[in-house]
Amino acid sequence: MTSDEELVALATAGDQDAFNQLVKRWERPIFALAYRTLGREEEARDVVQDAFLRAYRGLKGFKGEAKFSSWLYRITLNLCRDWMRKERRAPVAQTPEGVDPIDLADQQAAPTESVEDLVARREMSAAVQMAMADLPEEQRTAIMLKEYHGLTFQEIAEILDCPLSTVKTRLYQGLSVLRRRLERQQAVVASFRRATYSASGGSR
Amino acid sequence: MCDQRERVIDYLYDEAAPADRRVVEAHLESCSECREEMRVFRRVREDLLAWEVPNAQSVWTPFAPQPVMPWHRLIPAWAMATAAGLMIIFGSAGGFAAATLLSSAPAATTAQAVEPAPVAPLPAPAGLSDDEIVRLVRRETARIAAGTTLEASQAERLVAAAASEQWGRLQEYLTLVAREREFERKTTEQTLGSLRLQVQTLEAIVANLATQQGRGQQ
Repeated sequence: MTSDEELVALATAGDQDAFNQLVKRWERPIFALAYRTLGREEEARDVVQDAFLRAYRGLKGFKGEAKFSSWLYRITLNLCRDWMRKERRAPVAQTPEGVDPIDLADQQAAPTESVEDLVARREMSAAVQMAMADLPEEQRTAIMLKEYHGLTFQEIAEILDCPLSTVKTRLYQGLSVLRRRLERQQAVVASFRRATYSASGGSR
Repeated sequence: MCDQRERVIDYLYDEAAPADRRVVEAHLESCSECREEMRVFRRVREDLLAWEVPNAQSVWTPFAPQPVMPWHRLIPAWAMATAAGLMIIFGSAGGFAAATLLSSAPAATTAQAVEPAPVAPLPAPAGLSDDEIVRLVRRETARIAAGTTLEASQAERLVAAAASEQWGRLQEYLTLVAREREFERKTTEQTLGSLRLQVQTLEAIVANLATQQGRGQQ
């Protein structure tokens, strides 16, 4: 497989198909980062498009000192930050209320997954989303880049333009806060289930 | 948490150097607080995996592949005009030239020049007699024959000469023919190779014409 560096060199020389390949390779992770940062699908899609356009226009200025992906992550995070500043909005966490069983049936990960498991999976996803949305931005970003994109501490430090030790501190603090919030949410969910179970006469 | 926080994070994310790793493992053996913290952090990391991202369709409209230029668009206008000129002149003088070639051209030259790139006779532009065409062939092909290939300067001179002598109608016709005529050769290199062969063919024809004329004068 052609490396990012090779594709970047080709794209810089005017090979548009090389840039298409870079987009194909990185669109999904960039969308995931934008979506998790903003919590809004439509806006995340806009950011992705804008990020690749900026990257394309800035290819000649990209000197290859960092990885192409790191550069792209940085562009994406800056765009997300601009969007949140402009809209004066915090990340949105979507709650799993109003769950439609038909909708759920379409989203089953595997034919063997029960609806109960699917509901639990969605609840957990929403719980994590809510817990992450409450984190300070710098902790949330460090955790996202580490947990969902598998970047090294060094890469994260370069993207966020901060010392290595700061990245580790943010991760530590972020995980500590998440731990408390997730435990609290899980306790709430458990008590809600107990209440629902009692209200239905123990038949569920 | 004790003062091992940074090392514990390195260990948790598997980025600790081997020596540090051993230090952390030894520390975890003796520190129940850190051991518990490590366990909880691992569980939080597992929980984080639950956050799903919707399957969004691609937002990127790929750049269209660079357009493949028709072969004739890759050839400079001067080369097209020259080629068309040579073809039409050759075509117009077809009968006479063919007879000349068959009767008196050296066998090797004829075989080499005619076989690979036969040129179909084309109708002559109105207003030019066969004699005029033969004269033009001789003069203009002689310019080209001075070099071994179709060089830009030579061809430009040829076209410029044609223009200065007010061959407007002929040029227009030749350009039209060049545009309309469909060559089967698809690459520039092949086409230019073909042009060179056509020039060689014309050189042979002109040489023979000159010989014939010389004999006639004698």
